[in-house]
Amino acid sequence: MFLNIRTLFISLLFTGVTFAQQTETETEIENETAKEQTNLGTKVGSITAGAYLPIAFGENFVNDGMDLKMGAQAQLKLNVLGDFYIGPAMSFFFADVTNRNLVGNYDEMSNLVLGGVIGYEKQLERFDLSIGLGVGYSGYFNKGLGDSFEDNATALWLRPEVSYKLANYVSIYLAPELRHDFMNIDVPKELEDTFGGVNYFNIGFGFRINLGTGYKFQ
Amino acid sequence: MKSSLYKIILFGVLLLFSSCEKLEITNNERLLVKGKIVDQNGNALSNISIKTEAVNRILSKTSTDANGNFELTSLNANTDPLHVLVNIASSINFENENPDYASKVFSSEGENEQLLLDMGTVTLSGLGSFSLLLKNLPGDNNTVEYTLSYTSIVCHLSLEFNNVVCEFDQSTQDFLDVNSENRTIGGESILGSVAVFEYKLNNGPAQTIEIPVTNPPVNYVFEY
Repeated sequence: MFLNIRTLFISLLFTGVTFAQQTETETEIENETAKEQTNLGTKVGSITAGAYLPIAFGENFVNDGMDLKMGAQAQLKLNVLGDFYIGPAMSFFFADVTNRNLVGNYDEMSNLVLGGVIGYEKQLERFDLSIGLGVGYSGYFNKGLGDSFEDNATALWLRPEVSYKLANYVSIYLAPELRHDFMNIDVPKELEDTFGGVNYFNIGFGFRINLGTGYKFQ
Repeated sequence: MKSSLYKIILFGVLLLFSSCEKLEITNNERLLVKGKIVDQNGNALSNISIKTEAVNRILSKTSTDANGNFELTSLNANTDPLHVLVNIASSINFENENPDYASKVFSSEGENEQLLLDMGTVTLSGLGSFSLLLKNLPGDNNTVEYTLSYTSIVCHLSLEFNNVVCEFDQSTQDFLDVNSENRTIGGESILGSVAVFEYKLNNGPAQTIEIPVTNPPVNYVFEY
């Protein structure tokens, strides 16, 4: 009888220890999973760099008087509040003057935009979808007549972006951009429609480096 | 060999000096230049060149349409005077692009500060010429002091002030004595205008002769 009780006690103890170990193992796994999940949420931001295809539209001196060439763009997104991001952005492109009677007697122009963006980004498995609003300085650097001179503007743009992950930290992106340059050119009122502002529908595409473990998809 | 070397050096120095004259274009500025070109009868002149220029560099150019109208967007010079050239082929020696008509040059006093340069109606007259042979008659011991005044085929005007007077802006003067050889004076001027030959014979009172500018020219003779 006493032996049976002892055997039962030992069995219960063993079982208890075993269950206790199992529970501890499950808790550790759960903790690790939670830790991993926490790591998945760590998204520092991203860097995009790629080609920039400028397309001007409407009645303005760029659309009516220049032949636009491809350029490049780069952008850094830093996640500051959940899925919201801010960061610097730059782009440039080139153009040949085709209508000197309209724009003035010079040969070529290069445009440089330096600014900042604020936006929102959402990850959907392999895709990252974002929309950003940017503002910055837009410089039109003109060459010809043996001299160079500058026109400048304040640029405002809206840039949705879709990127697809090729690997955890590398994506490709496509980003159409609607941009308006508020030109600072002094002109008589007869030329205000032509030189007051420039509209663009630009297309950017290239590579994106994802910063942080939160962009892992596997 | 030495002569060629000197020419090359001279050319190089000239090139150096010409390149030193730097054009500074005003940032963030465009001008609108517009107007109409007619002949002296009020008929519209088509295909007449219009240019804006500073420091011998063309800032914009166009030609008049079939109705004589023109409109062009121009850059502006930062510190140098701006010139609007009407029917001028080359701003260096002011040659007329259309040889049948006179030309006009409108210049700002200093840096141009007007964004709209409405030239209004610009009249370009036809061209003619005149000729006067100054003939020294043998045996006479006369002397002649003369001044010949006529209107230039290139009229220089102010861009700021609406002065349309451009007459007798060209003149030459000389003194002829018994030893002077025969010579012909004359030149191109505005068709229908007159060249004024003012002279003093033997230092006497001034007298004038008006020489019509015609096409083709009539050759006149002045004997003394």
